[in-house]
Amino acid sequence: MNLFKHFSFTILPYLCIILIGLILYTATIKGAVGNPNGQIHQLGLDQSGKAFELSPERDRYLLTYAMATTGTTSIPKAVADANYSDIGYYEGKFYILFAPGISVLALPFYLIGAHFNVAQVGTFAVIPLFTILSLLFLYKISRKVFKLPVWSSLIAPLIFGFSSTSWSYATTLYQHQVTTFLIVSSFYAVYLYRQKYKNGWLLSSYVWLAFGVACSIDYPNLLLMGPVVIYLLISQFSIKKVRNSLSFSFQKTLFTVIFFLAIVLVNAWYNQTHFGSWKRVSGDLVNYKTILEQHLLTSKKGTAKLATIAKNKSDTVSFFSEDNIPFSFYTLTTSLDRGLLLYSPIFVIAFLGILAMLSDLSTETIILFGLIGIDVFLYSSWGDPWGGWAFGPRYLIPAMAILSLFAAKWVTLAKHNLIRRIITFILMTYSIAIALLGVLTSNAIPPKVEADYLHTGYNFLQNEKYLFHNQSSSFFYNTFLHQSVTLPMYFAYIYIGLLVITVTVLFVLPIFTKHE
Amino acid sequence: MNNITISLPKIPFVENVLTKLEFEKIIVILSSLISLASIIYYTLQNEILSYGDAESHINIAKRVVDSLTPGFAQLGGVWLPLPHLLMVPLVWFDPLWRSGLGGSIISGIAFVVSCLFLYKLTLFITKNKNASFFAFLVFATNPNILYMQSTPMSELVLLVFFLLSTYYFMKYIQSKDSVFYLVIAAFFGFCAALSRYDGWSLVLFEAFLLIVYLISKKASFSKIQGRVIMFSTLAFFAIALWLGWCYLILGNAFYFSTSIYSASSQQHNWLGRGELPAYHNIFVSFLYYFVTSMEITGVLLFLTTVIAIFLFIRNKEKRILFYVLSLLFVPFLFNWATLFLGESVIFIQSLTPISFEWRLFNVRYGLMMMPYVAFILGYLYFKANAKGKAFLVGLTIFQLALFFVGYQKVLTLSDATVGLSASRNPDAQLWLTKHYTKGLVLLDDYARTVSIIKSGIPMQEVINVGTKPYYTDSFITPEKYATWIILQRNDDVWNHLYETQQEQNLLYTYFNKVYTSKEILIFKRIGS
Repeated sequence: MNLFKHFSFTILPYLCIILIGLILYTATIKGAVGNPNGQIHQLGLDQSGKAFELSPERDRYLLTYAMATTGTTSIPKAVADANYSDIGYYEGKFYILFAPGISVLALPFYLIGAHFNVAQVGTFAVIPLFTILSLLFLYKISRKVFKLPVWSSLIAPLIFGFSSTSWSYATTLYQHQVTTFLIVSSFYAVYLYRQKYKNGWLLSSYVWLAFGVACSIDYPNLLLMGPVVIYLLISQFSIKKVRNSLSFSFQKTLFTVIFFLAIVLVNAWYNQTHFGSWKRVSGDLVNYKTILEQHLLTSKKGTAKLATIAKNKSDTVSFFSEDNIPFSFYTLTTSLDRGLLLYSPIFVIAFLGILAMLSDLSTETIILFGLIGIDVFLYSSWGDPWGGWAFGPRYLIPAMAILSLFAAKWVTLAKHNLIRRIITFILMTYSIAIALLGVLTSNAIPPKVEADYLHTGYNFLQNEKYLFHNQSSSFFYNTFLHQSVTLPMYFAYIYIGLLVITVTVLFVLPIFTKHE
Repeated sequence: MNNITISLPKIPFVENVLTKLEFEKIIVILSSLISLASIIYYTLQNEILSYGDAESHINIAKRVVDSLTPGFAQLGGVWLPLPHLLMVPLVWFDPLWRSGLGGSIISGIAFVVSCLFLYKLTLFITKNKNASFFAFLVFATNPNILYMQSTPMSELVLLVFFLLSTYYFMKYIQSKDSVFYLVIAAFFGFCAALSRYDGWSLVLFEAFLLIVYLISKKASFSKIQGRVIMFSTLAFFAIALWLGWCYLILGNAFYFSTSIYSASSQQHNWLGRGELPAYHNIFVSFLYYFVTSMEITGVLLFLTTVIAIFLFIRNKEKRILFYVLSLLFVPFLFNWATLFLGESVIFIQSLTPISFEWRLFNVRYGLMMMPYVAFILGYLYFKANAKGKAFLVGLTIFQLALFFVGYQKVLTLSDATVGLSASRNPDAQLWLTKHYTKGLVLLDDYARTVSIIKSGIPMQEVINVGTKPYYTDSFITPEKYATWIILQRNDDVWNHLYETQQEQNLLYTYFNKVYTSKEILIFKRIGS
C-alpha cells in the first residue's frame, strides 16, 4: 500500500505528464515526411500552414541543414538566394539573422530524422522534448516551492502546456520553449541549492551553463534570465555584522561562473571570426533581401553603399525604447490580434494569484515576479510586440510558464475551492480551444494593421477558417489521418481528451488526495 | 569549508561620524552641488533657454524693471506672477537676463529647498533618516528634475511651495491642532497658488482635507468652521488677488482663461483640428497623464509606486500616510481634470497618433508627480528588510542607467529641443545680431517671432503687446516710434501692417525691407 501511495504521489504524476505530452505533441507537431534541402520555396513548404510558413523556423532549419551538410555555420549561397528574407550578409558569406543556439541543439535530431526520411520533423522534435521537461519542472516547482497538493500541481503544466498559445511554439523551431526550460530548470536548481541540497557545485554549474546557453539561443535571454542569476548570487553572497567587524562571505561555488564566461567567450570568438567584431551579433548584419533589392553587390557604387548601410545600421538594442511601452503592453495583454487575455483568459486567475501572494512574499515569489516582470517589461519596450506574423503573444511564453504557477496557487488558496475550480475549468475550456486551434492550423497570423491591408483575419478567427477548410500543419494528421478524419473531428477528439484530463485533475483527483 | 569570508573591522571614527551626521546639512550641500553642476552643464550646452516659455518667463521679469513701460503691469494676466517676481532682482542685471541664469538661480534654489523639505516630510512620517535620505536621492537624481531646475521655468517654484505647504500641513495634523503650522501651510499654499494654477488645486484640496481631518477628530462645527476659514482666508487670498488683478489691470477677472493668450484658447485651436485626444474622454485623459508621469519620473520607479499603493491599502498603513499621499497626488487629479476639460494638452510619443503634426508637448507637467514617487520609495525603503532595501537601491540605479543609455529619454529636454515647446532659432535672429544697432523694435513677442535675448536687442528698445500705447499707436502710425519692424506671417504685427495692399503701401512709405525670408520680414525706417 505504501509502495502504491509512493508511486501515486511521486512517480505517477511525472509519467502522466510525459505520456500526455508525448501524445499531444506528437499529434500536433508541424511538418511533413521528407528531408527538405535548401529549396524550401520550390518545395512549397513556406506556404501558410506548412512547416516553414515563417522565417524563424525556416532559417533555423537552414542553419541546421547547412551544419549537417557542409559542416559550416554559414548558409550556402544557393540556399541564401532561394530563402533570402531573414538572411544576413557579411563579407561574401550568408548567415541567419537569429542566434545559432537552437540550430545547434537541433542538429543531432536532424541527423536522426534524416535517417528515417523525416529530417524536418526530427529537427522540430527537439522543441517538444524541452517543453515536456519544462512541464515536469513546473510540476516540481508547484509541489516543492509552492507546497501545492498533487492535483493542483498538475494544473500549472496543464495550463502552460495546453491552455496557452505556447503550445503553438512547442511544435515548431522557435526559441521560446527552450528559453522557458532553461529559466524554470535554473530556478529550481537555485531553489535546491538554497535548501542546502547536496551537489551544490553541480547545481551552481548548471545554472551558469544554462545562462550561457540561453544567451546563445536568444540574445534577450541575457535579461530574461537575470532574476534567476540574481537569485543564485544572493544565495552565494552574504554580509553579516559580527561584533566589531563586517563579514563578507561568498561560497566557493561562485567560481562555477567560469562556465558562463566560457560560453560568452565562445560566442565572442564566433562573432569576431564571423562578423568582424565580438560585439556584433547576427541580428546586426545587413539583410540580404535589401542587398538583392538594391543590387548592392553588382557595382562599385553598390558596394560602397553597402558599406555605409552596414556602418549605419542600428544595433538591436536601439529597438528597445520606453516610447513603445504603452502600445506594446496593450498589444501583448489585451489587443484583438495578440492579447494574452483574449487568447488565454485562464491567466486572469494567475493575476489573482499574484495579488493574493503579495502579502506573503518569500524570496522565491519575488524572483518569480521578477521573471514575469522582466519578460513583460522587455517586450513592452520592443518595437514589434506582435512578433511579426504569429499566433498569440509569443514573446510572453516564458512569463506564461511562471503565471501558470500562480494560477495553480490561486485555485488552492481558499479552503473550499470548488467555485475556484469551476471558474478555472470554464476558463480552460476556452483557452484550450484557442490553443488547439492555433497549433493544429497555422502560426502565420498577421498583426491587425497588416491584416486590414490584406483583407484577411488577424487572430484565431483566421485559424477557425483554416480548421474548417481542413488546412492543418500537423505532421501526424496530414500523414496518417487526413483521408479518414476531417480536421474538425481531429480537433474534437483532442479537445475532448483534454477536457477529460482537465476534469480529472480539477474534480476527481482532489477527492482521492483529500488527506494531503 | 565551502565559504570564503573577508572581515572588515569597523572603524570607530567612521562609525562616530556616521551616527552624528547631520543629514539636513548634507542634503543642502549635496543638492546645491548637484544643482550647480546641472546649471553649469546645461549652460555650456546652451540649453537653459531651449524652452520657448523659458525666455518668455524671464522676459516678463525683465520688463517689470527694464522696458519702455516698466512696472508691475508687465506681469500680465495669463501666467501667475510669483516666479517672475522672484526673478526680478536678478534679471535687473543684463548678463543674468541674457544668459537665463537669473531664472536658473531661482529654480536652483527652489530645487535645493524642495530636496530639503522632501527629506523632512519623509523623515516626519518614517522617523528614519536613511529612508528619508533615499527619498531625497530618488528626487535629486532624476534627470528631468535636474534639467528643469536649470531653466527659468516655473515648475520648480511650484514644487517647492507645494512641498512646503504639504510639510507644514502634516505638521499641523501631527501637532493636534497647532494653529501656527496651519497658518504656515496656508502661507505656502498662497505662494503655490501664485506660482502655477496647479497650486489652486492644492489649496482647495488642503481645505477639503482639513475638514476631513477635523471631522475624524470629532471636532465641533464651530471649530471646523474656524479652522477652515483661518486656512482659506490666507490660502485662497492668492486666487482672489489674481482675479482682482486681472479685473483691475486687464478689465476681465478671468482674463487668464478667456483671453486669446490663454492656454484655453490655444486648446480650442487644437480641438478644431481634432488634435485634442483627451478632451472629454476620461480614460484617455487618465492615460495621458499616467504615461507622462511614468516617463518623466522613471518607468520602473513609477510602476513600483503603483504596486506600493496596493500594498499600503492592503496592509492598512497608518492614516497619516494617506493624508500625505493624497496631498502629493493632487497634481495627478489636477492634470487629469484639466486634460479632460480641454484646459491643457499633452502630446507624448507613446500615445499621440502619428498623424498629429506634433507628438511632444508639455510633458514637463509630469514632473509634479516626482515628490509622490520619491516619498513612496522612501517609505518603502523604511518598511523593507535588508534585501528589500538593496532591491530598491538597485532598482533606482538601474532606472538611472536606463536614462543614461538612452532607453529612457530625458523628455523635458527633448520637448525643449525638438518638441513643440522648443524655441525656434530663425535665421532672422542671426541677421539681427549682426545688423541691429539701435532704435525701437516693434514685434509681436507673443508669437515669438525672434528671440529678444538671442538677437541682442535691449529690452527697453522693444515695443510689444505689453507696452501700450506704443504698441497700439504703431499699428496706426508705425513710423511714430519704431525704427525696426519685425513681422512673422500671420502674427499680430503682420495682420495690422502687412495684411492688405493699403497697409503695405503705408509701411513702404516710411520703411525699407532689409530682410526677407519665407516667414519673417524685417523693415528698417528710411533715413535711420
